[in-house]
Amino acid sequence: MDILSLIIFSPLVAMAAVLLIPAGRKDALRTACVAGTLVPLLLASKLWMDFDPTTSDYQFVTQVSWIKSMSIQYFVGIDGLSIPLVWLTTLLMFLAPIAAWRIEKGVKGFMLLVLLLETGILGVFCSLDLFLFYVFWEVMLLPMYFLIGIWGGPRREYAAIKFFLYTLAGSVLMLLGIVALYLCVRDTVDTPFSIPLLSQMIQAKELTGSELINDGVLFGWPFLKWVFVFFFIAFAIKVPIVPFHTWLPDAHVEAPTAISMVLAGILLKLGTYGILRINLGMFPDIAIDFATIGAVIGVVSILYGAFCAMAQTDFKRLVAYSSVSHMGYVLLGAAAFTSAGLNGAAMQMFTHGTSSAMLFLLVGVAYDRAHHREIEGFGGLAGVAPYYTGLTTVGFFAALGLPGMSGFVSEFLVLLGAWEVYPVLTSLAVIGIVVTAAFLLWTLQRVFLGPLNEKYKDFPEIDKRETFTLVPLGFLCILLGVAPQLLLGHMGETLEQIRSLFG
Amino acid sequence: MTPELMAQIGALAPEISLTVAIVLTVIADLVFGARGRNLVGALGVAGVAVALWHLADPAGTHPERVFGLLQFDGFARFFRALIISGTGVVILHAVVFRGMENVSRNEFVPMLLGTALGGSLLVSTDHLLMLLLSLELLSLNSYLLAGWQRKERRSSEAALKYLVYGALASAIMVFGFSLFFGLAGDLHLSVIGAGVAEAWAGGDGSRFVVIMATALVLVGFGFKIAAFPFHFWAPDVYEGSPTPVTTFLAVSSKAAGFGMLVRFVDGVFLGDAFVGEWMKGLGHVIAVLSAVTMTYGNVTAVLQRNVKRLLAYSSIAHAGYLLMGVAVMTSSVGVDSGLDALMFYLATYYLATLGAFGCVMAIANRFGAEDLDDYQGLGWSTPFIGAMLVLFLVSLTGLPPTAGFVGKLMLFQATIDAGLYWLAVVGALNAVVSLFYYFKIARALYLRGDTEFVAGLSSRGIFPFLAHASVLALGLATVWYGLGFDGLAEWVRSSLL
Repeated sequence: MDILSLIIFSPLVAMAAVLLIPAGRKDALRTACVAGTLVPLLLASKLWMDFDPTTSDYQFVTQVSWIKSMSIQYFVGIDGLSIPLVWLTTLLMFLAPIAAWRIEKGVKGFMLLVLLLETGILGVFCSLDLFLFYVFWEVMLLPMYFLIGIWGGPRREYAAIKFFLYTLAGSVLMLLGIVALYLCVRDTVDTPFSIPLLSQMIQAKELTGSELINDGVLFGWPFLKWVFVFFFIAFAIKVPIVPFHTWLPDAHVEAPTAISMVLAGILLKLGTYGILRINLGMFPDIAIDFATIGAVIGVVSILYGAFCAMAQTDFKRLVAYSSVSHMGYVLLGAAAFTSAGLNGAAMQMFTHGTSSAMLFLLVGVAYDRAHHREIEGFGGLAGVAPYYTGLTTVGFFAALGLPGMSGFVSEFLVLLGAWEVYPVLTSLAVIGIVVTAAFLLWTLQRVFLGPLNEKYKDFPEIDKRETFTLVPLGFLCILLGVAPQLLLGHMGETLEQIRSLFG
Repeated sequence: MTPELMAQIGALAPEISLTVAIVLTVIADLVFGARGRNLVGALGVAGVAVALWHLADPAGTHPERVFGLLQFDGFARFFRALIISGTGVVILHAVVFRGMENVSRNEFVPMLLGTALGGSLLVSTDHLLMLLLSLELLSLNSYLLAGWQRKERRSSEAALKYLVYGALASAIMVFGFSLFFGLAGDLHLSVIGAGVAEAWAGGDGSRFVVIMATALVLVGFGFKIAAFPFHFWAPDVYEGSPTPVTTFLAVSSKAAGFGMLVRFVDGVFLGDAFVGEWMKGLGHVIAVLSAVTMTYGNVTAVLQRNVKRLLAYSSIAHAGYLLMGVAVMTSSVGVDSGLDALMFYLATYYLATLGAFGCVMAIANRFGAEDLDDYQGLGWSTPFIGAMLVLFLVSLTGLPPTAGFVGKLMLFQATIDAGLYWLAVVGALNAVVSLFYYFKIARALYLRGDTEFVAGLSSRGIFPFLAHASVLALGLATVWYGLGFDGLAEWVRSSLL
């Protein structure tokens, strides 16, 4: 078996092992899950080292026929766009069971679902066949629904089904888009679901032979434009981009800490990954038509998310809205089609994955001790929990893009790239940076500085397990801030190839 | 008897096996009475197994055309396999179903076999008289089965409603048949097709007769498959009937109804003589019926609190999806692709619905629960059944990696290919609505209530084991055909009309 398939399916093997452990032996279950997620992390690290950054081609490709009646293939491979996300996924999914160590309810179910979720996410990033892509895309919804719905907060039922319905509404439209593409090419090629082949054919305008495309003006738009829009809506809901974002604060606030971390750290990236891979990589000619709209929505997300975050009194809700804001940069950078913009967008996906995961873990630390998340309800924690305060400061600075931290590099690249194309919009986006800095520093001040809230004079310091989950993420934020080339070097060629699609 | 006649009788071997099983179960009941419960069940299951073995036709010697009335083609074989095997699973569950403990269930098994016999003949015939007779064999047995728990008001009410509406629908349909007979002078579908084509060419007067006759017949078919606006009997009957009967109605009876509808539409309207404006009009009507049926079923299902009633509305919605296939068939390009998608979808619906009802019965047996409120937290006490039920609900919603997803994919593909874009979008959005109510069941099972273990009533013995095994087999098949559906797709493709 090739290494990529091993990475994708090793969590399933771990599931089988977990299934055999009796439900009462909780520590054994947790350990098995951690071990089961460590394997893909190690394999992905090896993948990172073996990756050849000098080419934009797909690497570690496995392509075998799977379902013959519809010419569906098992077709996986990675390039510079997906490899950072694959590695980030394995890292966060390894930290998730550790962060969830204290969960006592239905441990076995929790661990099984986490492992299933990992396979789903990894599958999406590695799939190069649209059918396979869609299967993995949907497979991950089900564990997420139960993880939020069973182990979440008081309004978990509402949050879980809202998440599920929103995402499914987007993905059924994507399914129609996939089916439409399949119908366009099924008579002319052997592999009608192959993403590389379809990209090539659409860019070369070789689809024109098909009946659908010829007579396909629907409601005033050419057929392919609808396909593009259907894909875009599916991804936009996942990101989420304003106005499809309302599921996100609910899901985040209700989800348990480990799942919030995964949700913010990886699941949101699936949306932007899809936009870069499919909307830009497959339909560059149509993407140009929508570029300005995309940039406007991106800036609206940046500003709206930042201002909403400012208004929150709930610590976790604040972090959730800051995610909406930060993901807006990815869209703005992608819509610029410049080298700097694309590099910034792709890097922002990774850096937000580390910094937002950190923020959710930090909120979880406070919540576990105080059992509430009201920002105003804390105060002066720096005096009683200095290590916790230190780690939080690192996380907050990474999120607000302090120079020297990874967030600075990615946001700077995005703004630099977007400036050439959308000077006005970019200037507006800068306001978002200021607001983000404001609400994060203000929160830092309210929670950690000032007079100590007497209720928390015995606030326990962050423990070893929590430190263990936070340190690698904090380390990455600093490392990529001083040496962004480590990440950009791997992504460069692929992003240059995407940029070259736009002349 | 001539060898030819013998061969024709040989083609009836599955039906003969069912008949033998009916006779044997009746005798066993007379001899052993209530003590013979398991024996009667075993005989019933054995009869189904033998019928299926004959259906597979290992020797490959059966002729297709029998007595000039029955057409035992691949299409008939596909539908008979679904109907008969579905009945077998229902018998397994019926034998252990606690809800029927206070009524005799020995006559229940031969009745059920009788409905399977009726359904099996119904999907094989291309002669309207035979069609009517087998439909009544199916229906009359179903009416009785629906009222089996005669001491329960709900059950009696269900049976009466079903009987009255069913008789009315049959009468309307027979009137339509008589008009067709008047047009063509024959009751064979192909001859009727030619007659209708001629009548259509003959001017406004005879066109009106064609439209009337079609409308009347569609009422009868619409009733059988529970399509809007002839669905109104379904929720009450599904809820009131004993759950094994509900299962039968949702699976085997619906398959028989669609088999009959498809053969009729294909024989009468899609013959060589007959395309054009009339078909286009009919196609539009069916497409609209399909969209309205699935939307109505889904939206109404959202409001339900009883699991059986919820599944009843969901089965109305699925009738709407299946009608998408018929709508594609009647469009000019999609006879084969529409039928292909319909049959594939029906197979996936069969797996998931049979499995879901199996889980519902297992939960009813163990915890006596039938309402969503009583389901709270039960998933933690019965992990296997709970997980299986979620799997079947995922398949009914149409999410990968289950067969239900592939079924929807096939339907959307056929619909878009036929240019019915709006119908594909309606179908896709309906899947989102259906998620909401299907996951009300999952929500009750896992998200609500506490995670404490509740023992409930246990059932031991060979039949409970087999009933559970059938659920597992259906679950495995649901995942298997979701990830590798070549075999099923090939079977469907070789079974088209």
